[in-house]
Amino acid sequence: MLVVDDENRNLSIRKQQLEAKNLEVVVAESESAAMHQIEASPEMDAVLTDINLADEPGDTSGVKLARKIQARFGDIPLFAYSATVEEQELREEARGLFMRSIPKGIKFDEELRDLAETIRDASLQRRQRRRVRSDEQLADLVVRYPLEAIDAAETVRRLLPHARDAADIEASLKAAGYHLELIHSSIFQPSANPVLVWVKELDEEIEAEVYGQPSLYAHGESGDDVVAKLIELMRLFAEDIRHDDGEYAGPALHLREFIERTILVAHGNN
Amino acid sequence: MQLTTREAERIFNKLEVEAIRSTHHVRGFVTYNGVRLFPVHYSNGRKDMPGHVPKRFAKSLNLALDEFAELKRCTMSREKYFGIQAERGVISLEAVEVSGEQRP
Repeated sequence: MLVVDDENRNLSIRKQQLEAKNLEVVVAESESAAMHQIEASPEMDAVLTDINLADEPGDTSGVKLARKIQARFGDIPLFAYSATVEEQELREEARGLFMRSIPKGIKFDEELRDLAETIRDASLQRRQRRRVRSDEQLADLVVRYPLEAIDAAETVRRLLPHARDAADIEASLKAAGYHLELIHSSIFQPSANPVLVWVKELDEEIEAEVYGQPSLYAHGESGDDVVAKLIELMRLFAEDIRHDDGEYAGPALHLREFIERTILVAHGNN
Repeated sequence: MQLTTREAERIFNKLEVEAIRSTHHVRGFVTYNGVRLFPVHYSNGRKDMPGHVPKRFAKSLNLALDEFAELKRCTMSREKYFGIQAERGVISLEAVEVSGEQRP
C-alpha cells in the first residue's frame, strides 16, 4: 500500500506502524510522487493519505489527490487521516471518497488495528474483483486472439488498447493451458506500455512467450525464473536495437517496432 | 528433436549470426546483406535444451523442422538457407544469386 504525507517524520511513523501490522508499505511525500508511485505499480492495494499535504491551515489537498487517484485508477481503496481537519468537515469535503478516515481529535494509534484490518479486507476484495474481471477478459482474449492465428504486429497493436485494463489480469488461461501474465513495463521504463506474456506449464519446465512475438520466449524451472529470463531477453534486444541504426526487415522489423512501441518509450510513448 | 547449446552455436556460426552473450542468453539477428531478418537466441547451459526449444528455434529461423534438422546436420549451407528464404519471399532471389554485395 501507499502512504502519502508531506512530513517525513509522519511518513516514517506511519510506515513503521503499518508494517508492524504486516502491511507492505511504500511512501510518497507529495501528490506528484504519489501519482508516480501508483503509475509504476497500478496493482497497488490501497492508499492512505494525509488530508493536509500543503502545510497550510485548512488545506485539503489530500482529498483532491484521492479524487485524482479514483478518476485515474478506479477502485483502489482510499483511506485518510488528518490532525487538522474535523470529522464533519472531512465528511462534507470527501463525501464517501474514503473507505475510512481518521479526523482531527482521534488518535491514529488507537485506530491503527481496525484501520489495518479494514485495509487488508479492502485489498483482498479488490484482488478478488480483479481476478473475476481478469477471467472475463482472458476468456474474451482467447476467443478473439487464438494463439495459432497470430499476426504478431497486428495482434500486439490490438491488444495494447487493453493494456490499462490488462493491468488487472492475473488469472490463468486454463482452458488453453496457458495463463497470461503482464510484465509492467516500469521494469523497463516508467509509464511504458505493459507487455503481455503467455506462460504455459509443460512436462518438466515452464515456458513463456510474449504475446504475438514468437521469437521472444524463454524456458525455466519456475514461473519467476522464466519470466525473469524473458525480461532479460527483451531488455537485451531493446538495448541492441536502441544502439543500432541498421536496417531491419520481416520478423526482425516486427520485433524492433514492438520493442520501440512497447519498451523504448523514449522514442515516443503511444 | 534435441538441440545442444553447441549445435545452436554452430548454427549461429554457419549463418554468420553475430552472437552477443549475456548471463542466460546468446542472441543475435540472422542478417542478409546488412539487413537484419530474424531475431534468434538460445540459452546458455551445458545440457540439451528442452524439447520445445528446437521447434521454437526452427521457427525463429523461418524453417520447418525437417529443414532445421538439415541445417543442424550440416547438410544445409548458408547459401541453401538463404535460397529457402528467397523461395519464401523473405529476400529476393536475384540478390541470392549475385554476390553478397547487393541488397536484397
